[in-house]
Formats: sequence, structure tokens, C-alpha cells
Amino acid sequence: MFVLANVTKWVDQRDSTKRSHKRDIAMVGYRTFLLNPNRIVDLKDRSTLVLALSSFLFSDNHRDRREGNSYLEVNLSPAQIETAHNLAFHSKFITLPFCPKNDPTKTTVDVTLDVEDIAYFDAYNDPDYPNFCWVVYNRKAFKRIEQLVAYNIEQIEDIAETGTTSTTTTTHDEEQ
Amino acid sequence: MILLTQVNSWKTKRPEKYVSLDGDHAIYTLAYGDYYFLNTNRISEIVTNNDGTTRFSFTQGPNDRRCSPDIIETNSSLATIEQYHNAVYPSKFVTLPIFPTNDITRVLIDTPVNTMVELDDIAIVYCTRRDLDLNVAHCVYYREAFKRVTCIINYSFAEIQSALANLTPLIDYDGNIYTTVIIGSQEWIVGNLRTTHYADGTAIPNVTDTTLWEADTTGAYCWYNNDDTNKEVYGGLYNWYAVNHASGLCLNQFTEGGILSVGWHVPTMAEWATLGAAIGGATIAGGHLKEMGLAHWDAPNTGATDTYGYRLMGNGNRWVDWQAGDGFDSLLEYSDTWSADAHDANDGDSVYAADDSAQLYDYNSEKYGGMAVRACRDI
Repeated sequence: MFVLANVTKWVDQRDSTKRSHKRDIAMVGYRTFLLNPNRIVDLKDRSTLVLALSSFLFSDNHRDRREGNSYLEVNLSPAQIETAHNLAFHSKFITLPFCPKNDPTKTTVDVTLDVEDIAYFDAYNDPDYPNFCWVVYNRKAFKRIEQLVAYNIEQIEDIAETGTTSTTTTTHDEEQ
Repeated sequence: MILLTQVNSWKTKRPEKYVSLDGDHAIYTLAYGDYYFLNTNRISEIVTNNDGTTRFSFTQGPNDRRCSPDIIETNSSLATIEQYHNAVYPSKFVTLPIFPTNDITRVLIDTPVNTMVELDDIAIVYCTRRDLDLNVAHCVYYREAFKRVTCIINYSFAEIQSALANLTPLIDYDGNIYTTVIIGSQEWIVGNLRTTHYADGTAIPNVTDTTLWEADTTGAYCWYNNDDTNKEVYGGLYNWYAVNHASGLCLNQFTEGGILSVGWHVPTMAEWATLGAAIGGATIAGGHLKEMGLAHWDAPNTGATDTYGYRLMGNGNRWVDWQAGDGFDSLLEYSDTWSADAHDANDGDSVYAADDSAQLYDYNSEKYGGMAVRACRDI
């Protein structure tokens, strides 16, 4: 299963400003991501007496030998990450409502992905569209893709775990 | 995992000889009947078309970053693809008879070599028209990320289906796993049926009370001595009403790799006779079918050779030989097993082998009796 993590530090050679939005860091000290634990290596316990904390290397595309790993620190213990990793997905596929051209005003198209191909989900920053998020996935080893989908992170968790979501959402039609 | 699907179009940027150019993508010259075996672990970005067909990206070498995905349109629905993708095979390897050279003109000369290939590494299996004439097929697999290999295998299209089907275990509604044996023209489950549900998901009542058991005419089961530790070894004891219940006891009970396994049913007496005839006649059939040793049979376990791996055991019965007390009797002595046939209004037909004989006997008993069930199908 995916693991919901509050990321306090994300260091890599990609556009890390997108991943750890400065506004969020400034406000609460972390940014929430839904991570695929199949990308995690070198998981280390950094917990203190009062705070569960882990660090690990994370690959956006684990099949691409030229892909460099990111360094992450999250507010979870290694045991919590292990528990999530050992939980089975409802299905090896997950269907997501893709926004064409990453435009939240366009009619969505349902696209089914292999959960193994998904790296992580990240909330969409536009406050007018709170029920959208980015999915970063791989077209196998070939390509890394960032795609806007019309679900929030809680709904993604529901679907990955049960196949459905009970959380209500505001569709783009209503927002328009 | 390996999906047999009818392909409507296949666009690729690969430069294989068997593709013809069409715009910026090449289009595969589709093989016989446009049917392909595709590994679902290569599939992503599935979109359902208005008519229920699907298109998706298909990466032949998922670990090769230089391998751009093909775009394939198939007649398989999203649900079917998902069902295959979620299927679990008991083995991660498949043995393929691969010819030493990828030269179709040498398949009548060369001898194929049985080679174990990891299922995950297989991308596509297909037959060209020439393959069909020669009863062979083409297989594309990867040496992990390293190299794409196209080979010719000494399997016909039907044999590939059979080889893949044999990799998947038979699972009943409850998730109990069975292996099977083929004897003559029939396939049988190994071990007795253990399901507690009919094929449509209706729960079969587990009747432990003796009075209720004798009175039941709607279908019931129990474990020997009402002890569920007997389930795994001896299976369930079902009354004849459960055997012939409208919801189906064996029919549509089993799946293989998430796919309904068709043709399974409770054998008729004619089918029990066919089994006996296939292994030398009823007088020695019991010996050929009985498990050897004294773990699940009383001594002397006459003639037991378990020639075919059928593992017939002394599962006993309920309310057949002993119609008093709790009614359980003959464990380790008799392998009472129902047929689908009614003997008359009150009795059903059955067969049994005994600890002191090599014969497979015909028998009949009141329909409220509890006996084991073996599923079979024609092949």
C-alpha cells in the first residue's frame, strides 16, 4: 500500500521546490505526500524520544538506471513504513480520472495505471481545486510523467485500499 | 498475468522485420487471428473506449529505459485485464521447449531444448500463419533489462494455452487450493472437496446436530466428527441434496488464476465407470486410486499403489453405516464418495474403495447420508 507521509526534507536533483512547497514548509514544517514504498531503499530510523522520524532514499523511476535517488526525511517510523509496504493493494491496477493537458477545468478521462508504476501523489496547490492532486508515475522505465488527477490524496488512499472511495469530492463542473 | 487477447491494432516504434511502417509508428503485421498472449505486467495507461474495448501502452522491455511503449487496442475489457493482472501463479517459472535457432526453416530439423523462463520476463507470445502450419509459436522475452530475445517454441497455440493454464492452481469459492490429475479422458481434483459455499456464494449449512442432519433435505455439510481439523485431510461430508443443489456444488465452483475454470461437475455413475475402465477395470481401480500407507487407511490397505496421484482416502461417512449417535463411521475403512445420480426417490448412487480390497465398488445410500465429493471434468 501507499504510505501517507509528512515529508520534512526532500533533497534531489529534480525540481524539489515543487515537492516541498516553501509555503507549506513555512506554515507547518512539512508537506504531505502519498508515497509508493516500493521506491524506498536505505531506510533508517531517525526517531527521537518524542518524534517518530525516518530517512531513506527514494527513486522516482526505480527501473531507470540513470535515475538519481532523492533523500527524504519523514514523520514516520521505519516500522510504520514497513507495515504499509506489507499491506496488499486492493488491485494491482488503479483507475484515476486524468485531467487532459493537466487542466483541472477539462473533462476528465479515466486511465488505469499499474500501482507499481506510481511513484507518489502530491496535493495540487491551487486552493480553488482542493480535490485534485498530482500523480507522478512511470511509463515503465521509459519516462517519468506528472499528471493532474481529479482526486484528493485521501480519496486515492481509499481507492488503493478498498477499490472505492466514500469521500465526497467537488468535481470540476461544480467548481466552474 | 499472461493475457490471451484479440488485438485490433498495434503501433510500435520498434524496427522489427515483421512490422510495416505507417506514419511515425510502425504497425505490427498481426499474427494468426490477431490473437496474442500479452504479459499484463507490461501494460499501463489503460483507457476504455466507448464500445468497451481498451487501448493501453505496452512496454516490451519494462526495465529498458530506451524501450518506448507500443500502443495496443484490444477487445479485452478493463475488468478482464485487471482480473488477469491480479492472478497469482504458483510458480514464477515456465518451461518452454525453445528451438536453438530463431530460424523457422529449421524447426523440422532441430531439437527444441526445454528452457525455464521467468514469467515476468515474457513479453509476447504469438503465432504467425507459418507457425500455425508447423505447430510452433514465437515468444519474445527479455534477459532482464539486458536483451530482447525472440525465439521459436515447439508449442502450438493450444498447447501454450494449456501450459499456461497448468501453472494456475484450482481454487474453490472459499479459497481452498486443489491440484488435479488427468486420468484417461477425465481430469479430477486431488483430495476431496472442502468448500463451504455453493458456486453462487450461498453458504452451505454446516449441520452438526444429528437430528437436524437426518431431517435435512435442502443441502448440508459437516466435517468428520464435527471436527474441522479433519477438513484439510478428508474434506467435507456433504449430503446428496447439497451435491445436486440448484446453486451448484462443483459447477462454476473453481477458478484458475482468477478466471472461472469451466466444466467441473460431480461425476455421474457412468463417469465413475469410465474412470474405472481407464485404469484397468473396477476390480483393481480402488488400488490404483488409493493413497499408499496407513496414515489415512486402516491395515492392510490392500493393493494401494496411488498410480495416478489421485490420493483416495478412507474419509468415512455420516449417517450411512451407523445411523445412531452422532452417525460418523468408517473413517480409515471406506472412501464413500457421491455421484450426481439418484438411485431412486430416497437413495443416491455412490462409489467407495475399502481398506481390505483393491476394488472400486458401486453403492447407494439414503440421500441424507454424508459422503465426500470429488469434482471431475472431461478433457
